[in-house]
Amino acid sequence: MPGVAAAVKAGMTVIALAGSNPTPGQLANDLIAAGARTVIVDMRALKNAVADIRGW
Amino acid sequence: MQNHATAWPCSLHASALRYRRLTNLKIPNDGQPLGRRIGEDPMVIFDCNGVIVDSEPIAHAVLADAFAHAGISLSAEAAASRFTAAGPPTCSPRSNGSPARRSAGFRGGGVGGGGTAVSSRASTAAACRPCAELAVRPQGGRLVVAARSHSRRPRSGGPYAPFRLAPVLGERVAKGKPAPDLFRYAAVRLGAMRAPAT
Repeated sequence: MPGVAAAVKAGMTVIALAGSNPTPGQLANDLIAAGARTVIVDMRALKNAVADIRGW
Repeated sequence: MQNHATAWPCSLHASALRYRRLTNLKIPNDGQPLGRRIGEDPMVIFDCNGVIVDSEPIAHAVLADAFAHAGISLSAEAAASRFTAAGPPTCSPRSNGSPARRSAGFRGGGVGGGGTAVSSRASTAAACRPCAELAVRPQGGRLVVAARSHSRRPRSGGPYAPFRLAPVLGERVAKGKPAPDLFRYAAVRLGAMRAPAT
């Protein structure tokens, strides 16, 4: 969570990864609450996440 | 027991600063921008262990603190030489042949007076070891990615090797997370943000 907060304060858009967490759903909620724009659970979803945010 | 154990438990930031004092560690990068023009392309900065911050000496310092708290004198340098790139099992007395096997260890309640905390701290420290060797291919030239472990251990090089981004906390970045300083530093270094006026 501190990393998300730091990036948001720096004016960045945050894509959070909740891949290896045993409760990714709860973690995802927490990450969104901390300021993440979106949460992925697999790095293979990163490209689409970036594209969605950028509107490509 | 080493003197620096008296401050236990301490923050990672404090451990990094203490490690720098103990070892007179030289900062490898020069703090200059890496050549991209501001606003040229979108950028992805990976906040994986060892990418933005050189977490390896921090992990070594925390690990040395954990040993010291358990009554074992082990310098950060020794921790670095023995446990770099090693996971928690290697640092545990349960691991056959580990350098820590002959000593009181972290796991199984073997450490009196806060063994659980030490175990957790040691696991955290070991998990901090640089493991990020991660990159995404540029997407049609529109996405620039910099992600490279700062570990001094030889690893695969490739085009990301020049991005020696990681500063040591407290040196060029005044405040750790959740302050934005670290990410701003990374953005400035990569040319995605102008340096603040001084």
